[in-house]
Amino acid sequence: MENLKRLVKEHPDLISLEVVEAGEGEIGGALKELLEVEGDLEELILETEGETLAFVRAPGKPAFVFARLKRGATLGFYRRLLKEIASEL
Amino acid sequence: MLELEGQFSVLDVLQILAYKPGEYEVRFGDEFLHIANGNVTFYSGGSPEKCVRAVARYRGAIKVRPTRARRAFSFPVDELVVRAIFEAPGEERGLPEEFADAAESVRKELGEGVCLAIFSEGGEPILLSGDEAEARRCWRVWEISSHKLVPGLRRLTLVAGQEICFFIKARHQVLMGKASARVGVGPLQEALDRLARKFWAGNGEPEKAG
Repeated sequence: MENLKRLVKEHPDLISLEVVEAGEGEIGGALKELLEVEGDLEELILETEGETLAFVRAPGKPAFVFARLKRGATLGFYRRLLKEIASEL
Repeated sequence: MLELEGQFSVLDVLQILAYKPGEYEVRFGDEFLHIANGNVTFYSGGSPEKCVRAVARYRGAIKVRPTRARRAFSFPVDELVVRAIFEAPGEERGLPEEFADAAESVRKELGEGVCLAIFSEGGEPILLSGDEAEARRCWRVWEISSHKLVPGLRRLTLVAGQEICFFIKARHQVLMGKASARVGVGPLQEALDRLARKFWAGNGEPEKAG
């Protein structure tokens, strides 16, 4: 958890960073539904006008690293960063 | 010589000719195609892709006569029939031919197994090029994400196993493309952005995300 907070401080485009378990809470509930539709789901990137939400799944687990990114953030970089975090979950 | 007067579909005639030896001309409206031993070898309107769309659309009188077939390409009649049934009907719902051509070129660019669709906001495929069940399953991902994860969703990228999927929203429609993960997220997004610009060119640009 401290590690995630540190990463948010270090990366100005990161608004928030957390781990979400599928089935827990509102976001987790939606992720669970998504896993029922797409069991192999690995990454989900959702772009709105103001921000980007990125979900990267921990390999073989129903848990996701979830990042809120500012508009214009370099997606390639953050996808790699989130994958790295997810692989350690 | 076979003449059918009335509202006939070319597909009905083609299915008879698919496995019939010999060379034939099938004339429908102002257009015609030639068949040689189960393959379409010529279409007066141009490419096999245009032929697929033309035969899917046409209803009316049809004339068939034996002829010496012109040979511009060779496209199996049964494949043309299947594609006309499953791919082209979207065009009948009023989509411009230029878009169908652009979609065809994107399909070629992205390789085997590509699925392209334009959905209404309600999730009905207005245009579909690929497997409908698969497209509808992908739509569920958009639906769940836009309703339960983030309102105002404009673009969605999904990586799942060996497949990637990308959605772009424009006004009241959503363009979707699915391809093999080998294609790469970047190239899939670029190809669909291009397609979206083409499709919505006459009506302004698709909405852009951050």
